[in-house]
Amino acid sequence: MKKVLLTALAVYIFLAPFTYHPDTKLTLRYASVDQGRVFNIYRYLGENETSMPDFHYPPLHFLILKLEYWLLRPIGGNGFDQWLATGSFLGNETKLYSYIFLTKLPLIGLTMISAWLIYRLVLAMGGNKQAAMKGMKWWLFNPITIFSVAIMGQNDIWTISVFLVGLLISVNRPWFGFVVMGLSAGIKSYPLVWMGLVAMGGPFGGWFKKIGLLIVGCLVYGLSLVPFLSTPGFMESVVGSGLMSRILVAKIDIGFGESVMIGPMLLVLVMVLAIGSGKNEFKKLMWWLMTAGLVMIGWSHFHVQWLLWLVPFWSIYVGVFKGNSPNYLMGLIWLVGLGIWLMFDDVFLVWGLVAPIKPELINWPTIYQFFGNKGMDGGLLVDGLHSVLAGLSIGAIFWGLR
Amino acid sequence: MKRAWLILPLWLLFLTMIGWFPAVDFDRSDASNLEYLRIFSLGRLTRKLIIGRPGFYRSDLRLKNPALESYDMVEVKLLSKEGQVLASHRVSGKNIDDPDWVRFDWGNQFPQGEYELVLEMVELVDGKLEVGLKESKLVVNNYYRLASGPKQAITVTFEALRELLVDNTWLALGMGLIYYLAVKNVGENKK
Repeated sequence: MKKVLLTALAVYIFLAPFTYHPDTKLTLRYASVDQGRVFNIYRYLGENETSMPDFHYPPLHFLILKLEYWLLRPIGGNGFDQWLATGSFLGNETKLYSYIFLTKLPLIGLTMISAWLIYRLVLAMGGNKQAAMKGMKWWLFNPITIFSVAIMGQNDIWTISVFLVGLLISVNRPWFGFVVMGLSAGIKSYPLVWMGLVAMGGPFGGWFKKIGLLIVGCLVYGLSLVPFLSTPGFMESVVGSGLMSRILVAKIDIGFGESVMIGPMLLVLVMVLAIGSGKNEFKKLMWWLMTAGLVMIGWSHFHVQWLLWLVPFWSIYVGVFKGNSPNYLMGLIWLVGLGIWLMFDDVFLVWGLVAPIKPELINWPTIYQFFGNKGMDGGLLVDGLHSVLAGLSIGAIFWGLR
Repeated sequence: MKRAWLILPLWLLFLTMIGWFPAVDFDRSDASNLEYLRIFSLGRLTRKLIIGRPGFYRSDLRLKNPALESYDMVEVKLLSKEGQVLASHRVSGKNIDDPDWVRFDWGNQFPQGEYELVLEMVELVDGKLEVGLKESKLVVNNYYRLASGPKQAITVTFEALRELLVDNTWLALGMGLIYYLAVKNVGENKK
């Protein structure tokens, strides 16, 4: 295990300081306002004139950012604070590489911890050490993980690692496990879907207990929101944000002004299959968790780094599963992810990622704009790629029935 | 895992590839609170350009066609310090927005030095075409094509390494230590 972790760490540490996306810096900027003394960021942004957009994540996410900030500031010093205050601007500080690396340091640490959790989960679900190592390698050396964590510095790793802790605990102590899962939903809300699936499709005995576990998880999530509910603008910023409603956009019109929302419909299908597949075991559940993530991403406007949601469950499943796992599915997801990434009409997500090495590359048009300049419709290609991923999510549902 | 040593050469290759990639840079002018004036009433407008680096190949000028009604034709020329015309372009109001950065490619890459930009009316149709001025000067963005190739790639790589080793020494030491441990560990396992 040491060998794998050290090699992965070397890969991540060689990429992280030289690649940059503004989001990692911007989110930490929220934690640094007023020298880190603000605890209700929603109220602060409502009452003060700032250049910062609304904070769209739940309160626990903000507390975690504060934790990161408190840990990193003593290492980075005053220069780090001043760099954060410059917003999305990359900057040309002499210690730029160190500052970028610092913003990603906790995330890399969590990726390594998640690797260990995946190892433990594979063992807990009946796999041997070789299988556990296989799952760990799928996680650490997956291009999606490397892109999301080392290159993009995506905060989703917090949610994922806390959820994995909850999942591992729930194998033996489900009540406590669901408390931790509820906390992960408090960081970003999508684990609510995973929590529902684990409660209903996991081997936790009778229906009363399953529903009880789900209520406990939701209660913890709800409690994490309660202190902020009275803050003006909180509901609009967090619960009603565009990020949360993306999955509700794809619809089928059923007339009379009503419609069926495709994403939620497929999630219900996944849940019914997870309950009714008769297996009611953890290892099959991993496939359904991966499929649920694929449905959420495949049927909404997603950013490539969110594909990270799939990887832990895929890695555990591939580790535990004894037959031929559908590696071609992950291969296709990589290809679609690569296509969507290259076609994203946001220069910070494409050439901008290597701006610390050559800042002038930010002046290039995106490939999407280049297509437009040549009279071609890049949107058609993007739509095609989204369709492939949506198709793969349905394919994954069918594969799960085997 | 057996080839952890490859991380360092692959990383250097990555830096070199990024350095090799061609890129452009530009000087952007402040286009806020401009004064828009009709070109025909201003006669011949000039602006001295002091180009501080090689690769100068393109300029944007701030023009404005109010309500898209103008069909005036203007000419923009790039002159050397000695007054020799290096490049020129004519543009009609019907190709200009309200307002617009109008792009002029000079068809060549010019070295650093002193140049003059000239804007003048060549076909007065309605007199409605306007130009954006800041403190009575033409507003211009200049573009530079940066050198690319092996020399540039090596320069970028060395610059990145210099910044890492000199300005970010602790990070460099950390990277070196993790790399050493990864390679050593794999080596021990192979034995």
